Amino acid sequence: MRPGPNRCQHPRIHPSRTLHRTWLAPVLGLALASSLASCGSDGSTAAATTFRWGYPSRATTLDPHKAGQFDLIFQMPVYDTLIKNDPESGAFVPGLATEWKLAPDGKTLDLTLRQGVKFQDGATFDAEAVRASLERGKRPEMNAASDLEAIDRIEVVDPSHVRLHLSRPGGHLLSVLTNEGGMIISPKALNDPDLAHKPVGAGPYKVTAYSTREVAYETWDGYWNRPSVTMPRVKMITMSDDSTRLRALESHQLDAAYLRPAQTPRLKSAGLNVLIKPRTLVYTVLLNTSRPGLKDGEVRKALSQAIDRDGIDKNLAKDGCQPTVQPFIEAYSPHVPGLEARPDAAYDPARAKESLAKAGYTDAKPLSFTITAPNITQYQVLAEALQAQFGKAGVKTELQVVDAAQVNPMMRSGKFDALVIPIDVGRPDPTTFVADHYLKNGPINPGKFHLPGLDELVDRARRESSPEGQQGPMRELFQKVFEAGPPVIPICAPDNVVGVQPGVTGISIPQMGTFAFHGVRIGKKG
Amino acid sequence: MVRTARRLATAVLVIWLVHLLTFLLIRLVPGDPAQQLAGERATAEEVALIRTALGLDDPLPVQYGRSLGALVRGDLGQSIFNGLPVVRMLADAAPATLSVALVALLFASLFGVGAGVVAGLRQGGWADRAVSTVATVGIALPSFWIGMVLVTFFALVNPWFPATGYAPLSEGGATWLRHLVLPGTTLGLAVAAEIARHTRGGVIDVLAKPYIRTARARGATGVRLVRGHVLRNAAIPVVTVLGLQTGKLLGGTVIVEAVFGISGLGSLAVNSALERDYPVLQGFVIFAAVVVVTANLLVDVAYGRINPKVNARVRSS
Repeated sequence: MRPGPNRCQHPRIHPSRTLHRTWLAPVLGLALASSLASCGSDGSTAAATTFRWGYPSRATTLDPHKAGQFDLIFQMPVYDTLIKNDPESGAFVPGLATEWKLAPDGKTLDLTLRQGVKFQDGATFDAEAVRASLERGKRPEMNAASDLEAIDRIEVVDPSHVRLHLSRPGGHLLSVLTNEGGMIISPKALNDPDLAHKPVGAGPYKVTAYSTREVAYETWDGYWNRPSVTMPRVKMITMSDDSTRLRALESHQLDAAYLRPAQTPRLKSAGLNVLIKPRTLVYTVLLNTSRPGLKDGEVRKALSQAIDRDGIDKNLAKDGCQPTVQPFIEAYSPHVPGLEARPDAAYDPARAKESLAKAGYTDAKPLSFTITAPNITQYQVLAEALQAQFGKAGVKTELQVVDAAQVNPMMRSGKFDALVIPIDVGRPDPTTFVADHYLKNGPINPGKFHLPGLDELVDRARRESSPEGQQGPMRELFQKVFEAGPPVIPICAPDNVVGVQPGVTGISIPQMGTFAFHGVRIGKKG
Repeated sequence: MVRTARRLATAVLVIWLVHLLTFLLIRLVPGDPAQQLAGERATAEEVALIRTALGLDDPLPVQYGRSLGALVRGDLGQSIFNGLPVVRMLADAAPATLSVALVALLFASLFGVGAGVVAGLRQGGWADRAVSTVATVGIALPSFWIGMVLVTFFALVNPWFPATGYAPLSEGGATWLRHLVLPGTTLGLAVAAEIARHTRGGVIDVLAKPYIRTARARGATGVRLVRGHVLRNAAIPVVTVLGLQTGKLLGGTVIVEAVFGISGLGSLAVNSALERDYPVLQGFVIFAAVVVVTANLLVDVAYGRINPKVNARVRSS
């Protein structure tokens, strides 16, 4: 026996061999990691023939008639639409329909269809296929039903002509037909239960893989406009986290990605190209005009004047959210020139306070209501800023944050006072935004806001088949609503920001509709 | 045999309870998949039609009976949004998550046990203090921050590993592992810290036992003493921690998958919760419950293997 009581008190072992074994695994691990790290690059070698796009939302479904808010971009490569938007001007240009004509009363829309077009499963594209697809889209259980509800009857005139009989003036249908509503599904696939992940259209790409992470596409050689397709393969990769998309772009794992305005400086410092453009998405406060106080137009105008839009743009959005007091910014035809310059459109909390006092709301008896925001950081922060700004005009507000999934039911049921939400005022078309929010029976007009003459103005706009034709009545309408106190108070239009690898060309932020990637080219630097 | 049957019966009971609670809880949360599906402009009638088509207006007991019957047949239903079978969606997402979790577990075991043993053997020394400090920091730091730091240094500044994404094994073992090093380390760091602390405590406890003194008196030193007498006896609390960490690893993948742009079970669960895709969310919870229950069964079995006295005690009782 060895003497050693001290060892038992203070166990000191000389474990030279033990330690060697203990450390062996980590050391081997590090060596393995080093060798893995030297295995090669991140796979960007495949980039020349595959365009990799990073996007925050995933494709919930590839069935255009069941599409959610952010699915359009995933469906567009597969499905050609009857009418398209020119990416630069937003003007209507031929798609699967080569010509269209809206009757003077706006109640009949004649479409001339492109001939010689096939679907990806070999079926023929003709008037019968258009009728079958539109009728499926109109079924009440389909998401597209509300967009297509103006269509009363679909008449097949001959194989290359379709006539849509409408229940009311339907100039807005032209825009609808550039979106999901105008995507024509192959008649052979209409009843396929797998359509949600095995789409069959007449577009430039076929889906080769669909998962919750990515949708992969490959060129379809039977496409009617095959020469316009320069990119053989496209991968749309879902990365919900903004920073993750940026890091993926910086490390050349993506060729382009949809990002946030606040990420612009980092994109530029990383040597990446940046595309920036505000579009028709607008951050707004939706007011419930059935609530005490908020039913008064002067109160709503005062609230609009109490909002420091420039401050929000500079401090919250880092100059990435174009301030606006009207739904459409200057680049779009319904924009009312000069409206922003009016004294009653300027930020003026003192004047707002005066207006509120005239309406009977003073410091002793303040206007008070609840501002609700979805549980998404940017809207919560916006709601906090509004609370502070309304406070300067003497308005007392409480904040309520709800799960984003609750927002739609809340809007419909009217269980809110003021809701901070983004609204795409141009989708599917400007008159739809108006009909939803400003007309008495609009589905998102819980307070039944109404102004005499608005229905007529919408009808006038819908008798026109071009944005230029719609411009007059739309401007008149927005001016009227502004003067009456808008139930939807616009705040600012956030920039769309796209980071692009040097050498990647053919990608742009479209004026209307969604991104298209078939014309992308990846040069040497990509 | 009876013991095994009892364990299995308990496992089945746990999974049934999880299924029942999940079914009830997700229906208690405000939000309606029919509303989500219908979009913001749908009329109340359109929403009602979708609800009927999904069977969501049936009484809850009818819906539950349908769900339980399908579960017994091994059918977890279909996604409300894309119609894909939930089993297929889980099977698609599981490899990424399980791979990250496996690498995290290996990392945590290697570094946690290694550091814990060194700290325990050198109690009070610099190695012990260093391990304790690093372990405390490792537990305290949020995994998303660790992930971003690792990506910055090992993917952006030094492009050694991919910053994002997952590569399946079919693309080659090395490619698979390269994509897992950073997320696995991120996920495994807190677990390694936890294991190191428990291993250290276990080693210190064991070193103070009389049988160690006896072993030393019989001439056991160094590797023989550590491997033959210390490690085995210190392993029980470590194995317990490993079992408990299984659930934490699955939960932790939600954040790690977001940071590394990996589309696994974590992101599937988050998306299905946001969209109120009941069948997918329920399928994920059942899957997680099965994994955790299996891990606990394995821990039970491991107790008996590590220390035969455990089996003997159970037999005598």
